[in-house]
Amino acid sequence: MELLLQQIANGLSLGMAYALVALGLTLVFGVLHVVNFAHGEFYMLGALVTVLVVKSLGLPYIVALLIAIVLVSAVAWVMDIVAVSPVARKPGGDQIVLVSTYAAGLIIVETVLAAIGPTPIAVSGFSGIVHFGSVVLTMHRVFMFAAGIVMICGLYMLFTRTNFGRSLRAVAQSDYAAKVVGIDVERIKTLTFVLAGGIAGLAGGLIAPIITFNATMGLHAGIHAFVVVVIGSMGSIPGAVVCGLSLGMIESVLSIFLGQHVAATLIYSLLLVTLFVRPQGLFQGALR
Amino acid sequence: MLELRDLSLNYGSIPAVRGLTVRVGPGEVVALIGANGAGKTSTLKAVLGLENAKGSVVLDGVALDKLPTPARVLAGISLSPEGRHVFPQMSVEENLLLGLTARTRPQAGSLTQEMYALFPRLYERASQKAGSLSGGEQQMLAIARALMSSPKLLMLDEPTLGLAPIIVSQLRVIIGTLKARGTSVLLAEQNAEMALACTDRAYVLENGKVAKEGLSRELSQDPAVRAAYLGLGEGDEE
Repeated sequence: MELLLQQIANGLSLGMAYALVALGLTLVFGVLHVVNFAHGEFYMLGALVTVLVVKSLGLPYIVALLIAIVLVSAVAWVMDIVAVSPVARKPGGDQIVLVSTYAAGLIIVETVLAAIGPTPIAVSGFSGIVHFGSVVLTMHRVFMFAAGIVMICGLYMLFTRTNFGRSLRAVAQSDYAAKVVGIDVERIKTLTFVLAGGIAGLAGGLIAPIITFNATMGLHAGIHAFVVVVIGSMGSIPGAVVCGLSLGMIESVLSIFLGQHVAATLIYSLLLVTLFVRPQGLFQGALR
Repeated sequence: MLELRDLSLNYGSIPAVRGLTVRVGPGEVVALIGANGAGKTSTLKAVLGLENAKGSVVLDGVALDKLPTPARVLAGISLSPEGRHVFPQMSVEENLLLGLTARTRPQAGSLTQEMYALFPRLYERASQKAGSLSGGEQQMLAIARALMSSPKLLMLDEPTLGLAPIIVSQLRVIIGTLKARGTSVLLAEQNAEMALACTDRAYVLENGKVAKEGLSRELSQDPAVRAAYLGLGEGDEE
């Protein structure tokens, strides 16, 4: 029982990383109506920047995390200019973006591999442990979960209390109606893409001390984010959060009984079952 | 106020608007009437910059041709589109707030109260999702949302489409109220009887061109207009 509770607690922090990566992916789908195949690479870049800033510049972890958010947002902005906006506007652009973002993702991974190499790099986060009854968590896992909660609450406030948030939700519901009321739709889409990149960068920076950076970590995260987003309904923010946390817990618990690979196989099977039984996902409805 | 000079718009190789010249004066209510496909909606879209058109759109002496839609809204043009296009998953109040521009945002509270006074039904439904409103209520919301930018020119595209006669009567009253407030209105409407009854002047569009223009009360007596758009012969009484 104690082991089960421990794994659930571990899974919650892992699930928070999945939730944050999936949040960005679902935001982009909900507002831009495209799937960003390079989204996992933003997560990897977040981890990379965090590792490099701490290891090479000797700056504190929390500063590295903030730098990671800013730099990955900047990379997302460049990717939007180069591989998303010009392509998405063309007829059938939503499908072409699949290929253009996939290509952009490959370029990012290969560039990182060429520059850093395939060797994993570890970095320290917050040290210390926290006891919750019989459950023991590292301070970093607690921080990661708390940071995720703060980010999710911040996003909720942003979407419901600000002009930008209202405009973003308006674009998600109807490009045409948003244009009619004078919203600069293209600007909102670009800002959404940048925001999604920044959230993924944060997730990567948060996870780096737990799973160790490597240049291909974005692929695994990207696939998990897709699973979360599809099961939680494409474009649904509550779906991304709830399913991200749930997936983390399920994977963590299953892995102690069945091993990591069988757990992953079962997760992907869950994706197939969802597509057959409830193809619209569990939290039907686009970003609102 | 608004001048459209030699406005033309094509969808691919198909012309929708052909050399249209239209004028709306300050505080004037002007109708564009015509059958489906005559070019009414395309004209309004061109004015707001939603479609790329040739010719010139001039508001208060300033050419808007190079400006994108957000800048045209900021300049004082607003549209209540055909089909309403409210944001269905957002509340009535959020829909209204989305009608604000950078210019009118500081008056968000007073403008919202003004709209609730003009459309009391919306006040009763303020926190309700727009998608759950009736067609008539959604039309009121679309007009109120367009008015939140305090436009110099309000364009109404087929506001009576699919609405019950009692709602159409209410719309006529609202257009009268807007005129009394000094707001210029350009009304695109298939319901020619309603349009001619509540406007000062009208343009009859056929195949993207102006076929007739004049005072609405005179056009409503024009035999050709009566036969084509009002379903009345020369001897028929309205």
